[in-house]
Amino acid sequence: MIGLKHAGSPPKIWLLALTILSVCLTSVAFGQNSNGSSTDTSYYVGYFGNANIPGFPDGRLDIINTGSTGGYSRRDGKTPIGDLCANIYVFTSDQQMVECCSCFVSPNGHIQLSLNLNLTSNPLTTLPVNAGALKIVSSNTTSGGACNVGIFSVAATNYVPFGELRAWNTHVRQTIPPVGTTPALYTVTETPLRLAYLKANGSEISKLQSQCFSVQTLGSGHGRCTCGGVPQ
Amino acid sequence: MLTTTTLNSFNFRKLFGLLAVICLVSSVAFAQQVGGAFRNDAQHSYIVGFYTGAGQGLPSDGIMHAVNPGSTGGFGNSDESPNAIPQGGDLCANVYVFLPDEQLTACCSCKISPNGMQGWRLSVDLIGNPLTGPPYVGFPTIRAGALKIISSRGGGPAGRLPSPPIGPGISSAGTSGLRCDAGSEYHPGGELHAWITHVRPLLGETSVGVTEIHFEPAHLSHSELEKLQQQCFAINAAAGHGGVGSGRGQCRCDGLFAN
Repeated sequence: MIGLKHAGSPPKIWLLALTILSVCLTSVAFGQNSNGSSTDTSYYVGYFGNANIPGFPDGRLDIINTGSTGGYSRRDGKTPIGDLCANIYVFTSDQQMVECCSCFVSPNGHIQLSLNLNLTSNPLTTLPVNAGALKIVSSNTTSGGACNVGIFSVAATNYVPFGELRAWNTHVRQTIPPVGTTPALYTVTETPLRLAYLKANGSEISKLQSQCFSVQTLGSGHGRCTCGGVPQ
Repeated sequence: MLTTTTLNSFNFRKLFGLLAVICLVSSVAFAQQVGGAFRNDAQHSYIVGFYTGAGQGLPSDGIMHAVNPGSTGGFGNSDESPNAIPQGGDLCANVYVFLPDEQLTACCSCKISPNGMQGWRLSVDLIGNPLTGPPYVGFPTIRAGALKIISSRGGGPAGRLPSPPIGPGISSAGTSGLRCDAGSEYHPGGELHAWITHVRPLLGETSVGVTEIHFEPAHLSHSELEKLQQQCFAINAAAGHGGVGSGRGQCRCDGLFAN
């Protein structure tokens, strides 16, 4: 038994000690959560704006596969195979998922998507999509090396986040032209999509998958983004 | 039974000593966890980006810059002071240039001393001498693709393919004797930072927008490193290091320009 009854200051010291201990343990827990599983490398978030506005130049989304989970593509005939699916989710500003799709990216491969043509031209509803959030979750391909399962994208299935991609997208904005001039002035910036924490089997990944499934089930072809052509 | 006296004089010292140890361990664990994705030396040595807007006759060229922050040593072998220690801050920037369909089209290795900067013009230094000429399968010219840079403290033994790569493409490091060879079995190490500008048509090809991205660090798998080294070795061999080949597929390191 520890005799604290007559200790005077010890209770305060114990409180201080417990506080310090809890802070330390919290930092450990945070450290573990922030990088505890492969999902920490698989989830990227960004945003877009000024899509589908007449006269505005188009934006671009570029995605590359770093080869971090395997340097070879299935067609190389060697292992480990590092082919990945970029599962893309497009949202409007009011958090509604309007499009989703899965795009194949081989190690060292590069795909480029048009904001207006590939990501926002085929929304679930007819409302024009101008701005919102972009999310990409990387995953393995199917056993056949594809990013579609029948009529559904892998993005709409119960896949496990896996692998590592890197992505950047451009943002086109209009600047105020000098008084008396008519041509609009545009500026372009480019940002990387940022890594974020995605809890394995958590609510966010489950929601993304189930909403994408609903979009692709109910959309009658609407709500599916496309994977673009040859990068320019 | 412990008394207040013993608590004050002895056990609290032990208690706070224990807490200090816990805090130290937890902070180390935190640092490892938070930085774990990229702080590992080999992982921090691997950065990825991409090029775009090439081969379209746009009025401006893309520019890639790489800087050695001196994180692995503030002094290069060629530093003014012969007594500067520790030396060994010189790094090789092993550069790999890809087509969008993952084909390696050029590679090179360039020495960058601490605080040194290397520049590459996209159309001239990076894709000006591709392994094969156009047209490519599915696209007529090189317009975009992935870029990878792996830093190392020097070249390694010759690659694992038959013909030994000897000679050019292997940029020597001037006075230091450091050999940089992106096609050798070098060990990733050190830290570089790189940026590249992207020139894109905005409204037709008369109006362009220029952006710039920072290369992002990524995990470097063994198979990826092996593939990069072997493929670059093959290109080097094909490029004439053994006396045969066309000399194609090598990027250039002579970009110490100021822009």
